[in-house]
Amino acid sequence: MYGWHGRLLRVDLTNSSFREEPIPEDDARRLIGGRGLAIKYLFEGMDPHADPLSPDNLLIMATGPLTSTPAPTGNRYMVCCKSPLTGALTRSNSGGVFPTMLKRSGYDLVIFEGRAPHPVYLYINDRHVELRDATHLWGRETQEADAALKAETHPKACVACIGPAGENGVLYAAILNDCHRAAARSGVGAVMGAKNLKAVAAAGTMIPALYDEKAMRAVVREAVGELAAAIKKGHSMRIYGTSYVPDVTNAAGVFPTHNFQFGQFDGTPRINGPFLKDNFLIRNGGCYGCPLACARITEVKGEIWGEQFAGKGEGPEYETIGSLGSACGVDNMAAVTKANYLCNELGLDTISMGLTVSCAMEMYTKGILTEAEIGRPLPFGDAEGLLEMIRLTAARQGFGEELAQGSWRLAHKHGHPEMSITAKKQEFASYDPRGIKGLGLNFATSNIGASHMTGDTAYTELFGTGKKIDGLTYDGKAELVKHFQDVFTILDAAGLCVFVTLRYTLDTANGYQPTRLVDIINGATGAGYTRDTLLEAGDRVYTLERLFLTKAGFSRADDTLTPRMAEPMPAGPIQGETIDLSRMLDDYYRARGWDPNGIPTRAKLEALGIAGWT
Amino acid sequence: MQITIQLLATYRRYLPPGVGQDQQDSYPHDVAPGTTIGDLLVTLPLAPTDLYTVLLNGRHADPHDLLYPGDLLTIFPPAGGG
Repeated sequence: MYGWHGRLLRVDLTNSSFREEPIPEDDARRLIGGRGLAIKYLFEGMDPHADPLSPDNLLIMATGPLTSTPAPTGNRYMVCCKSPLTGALTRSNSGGVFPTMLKRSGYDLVIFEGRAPHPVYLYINDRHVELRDATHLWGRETQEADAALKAETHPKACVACIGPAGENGVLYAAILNDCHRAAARSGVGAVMGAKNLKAVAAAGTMIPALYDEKAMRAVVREAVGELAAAIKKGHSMRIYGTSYVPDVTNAAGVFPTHNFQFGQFDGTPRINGPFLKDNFLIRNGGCYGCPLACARITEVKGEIWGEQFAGKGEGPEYETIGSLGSACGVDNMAAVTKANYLCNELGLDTISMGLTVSCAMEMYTKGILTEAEIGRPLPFGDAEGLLEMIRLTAARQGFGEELAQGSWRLAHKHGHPEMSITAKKQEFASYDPRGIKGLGLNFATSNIGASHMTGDTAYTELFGTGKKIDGLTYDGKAELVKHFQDVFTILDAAGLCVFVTLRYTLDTANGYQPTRLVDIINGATGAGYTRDTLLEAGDRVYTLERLFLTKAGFSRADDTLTPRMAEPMPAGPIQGETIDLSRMLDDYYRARGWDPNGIPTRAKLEALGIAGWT
Repeated sequence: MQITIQLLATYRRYLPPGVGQDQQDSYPHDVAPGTTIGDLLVTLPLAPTDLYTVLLNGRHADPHDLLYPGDLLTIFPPAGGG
């Protein structure tokens, strides 16, 4: 198999044993890889009704066939399991360097089963595997753990680890790799912590051969050449990273403000890209081999901004600027940056953390939560309150015990479901769907709960990448969302980053067709996809995930958004707008080939060749 | 009649001299009544090869849309991401 090692590592944490397994080539082709293969093993290896924090959950770290290849951004991995936050699936993605090293350590996937009797970590180096005691590392923050693990394994090892938040079972705990990169969403860190698995350290030199490296590199050169020309002219992502986005979403009235009560934030000029760049940016950073290098390596100097905000690290990215900034009413960029550093060090998803605090802030503001219950006042804009809530959450102390359950449980406990900005109990990305209807449909039908990365139609509904369409209309959005979900599934499964590949390996001006992408994947693997069969493979993976959800008890009744989305936007460019899913859901199920209750039909499963999976 | 032009992200480089200090990203601009968005765009200093997305008063806009006094025209590169 080209592009692949053709083998996975299965680790039985309960019995401290592990073994290699071959990956059938047919499965690899039909499911693309990464996230696509993971769903096969989740299906085969666990009961969809299992408690996500029990030993019966599987935790899968999946590289893609293009991870550690010359593909542009061929450096990503996915963490897949059942989520303790949502009860649905996870699809948590990260870059940096670790994914490349995990692939080079000799395995395409690692599957963790059971629960270790005491804290452990996995060390893999060129197919040499050890399960080692991690008792001495338990309790350590992620950067500390990262340094310690490098010192005791190999100087070139890369590390993915949890921090105190994951150890303590915070429902949205993250897995940090290379200190500043996160597989953040849906509580993958809590699943790792529940298995007593502190970290994975990977090193190696094993790079699978490519099918037709020359042909692959020719297409890659074209794509990267176009990107390089854009960077030379001035590319917003190179100059500002994702932090250029607040100005755009604010102008369009969809920038989450005060827990998604509003869509424009007065403080935007103080938390936007130019402000971050002028005051905190040291230099750009990037994932291994990425031609864009959009990351922000930053520092907050205590003597300028206050010692309580002092720190160094990476970010914040756009989502974080929304969730920890405007959603919480915090217009202090030093504080937002510090909050981001804290989330990384403690191992927390910044999106769910921010929107859980903003939920609490709204409830405090409206007298639903009291100062006595929280332990302090918690109005919107309280930067120090935000930092304290993050620390309490990671430790599950005081009010942090409530926050650690996420905004859905918090808001429902107090009788205000509209104050939890979630779909399937997972917090929204920083885009208000009342102004971007297709994205709202994606949030509601995503297999992992609200997430823009399962199908970010904002690219065309807001940013106008390739083609600008109106975010306020409903027509055609069902088909658009299905297509974007299938495309994003392919990119995830292949091991690629959306930021470069969406624009430079798909034809965004003509329906986001995988023009160069199919050639790059075929060049690496020899899989022989056509555009249609590649898109079909994305549909196949997506449908399998949906089937897992169905077996776990999900259906149309769960394809919903927070009740807040039925409240008319009170002000700004999209004043008066709500989002009405019923105008898109039936068309979406039809486009997917599912029945009106959102269940994949037998005919659809047969057409995809997965009827035997029921 | 007066409208406001807002330039975001890398297109801040096209802001007139003097604008762009203290996070300012917009400036007033005079246009004749009956000017469409398309008419206006060709007069701006954007390069012919620059790709852009426009919003009129924060909403989806068409080059044929007419401009009215007090309108806000937002222009940014269609980069996407985040």
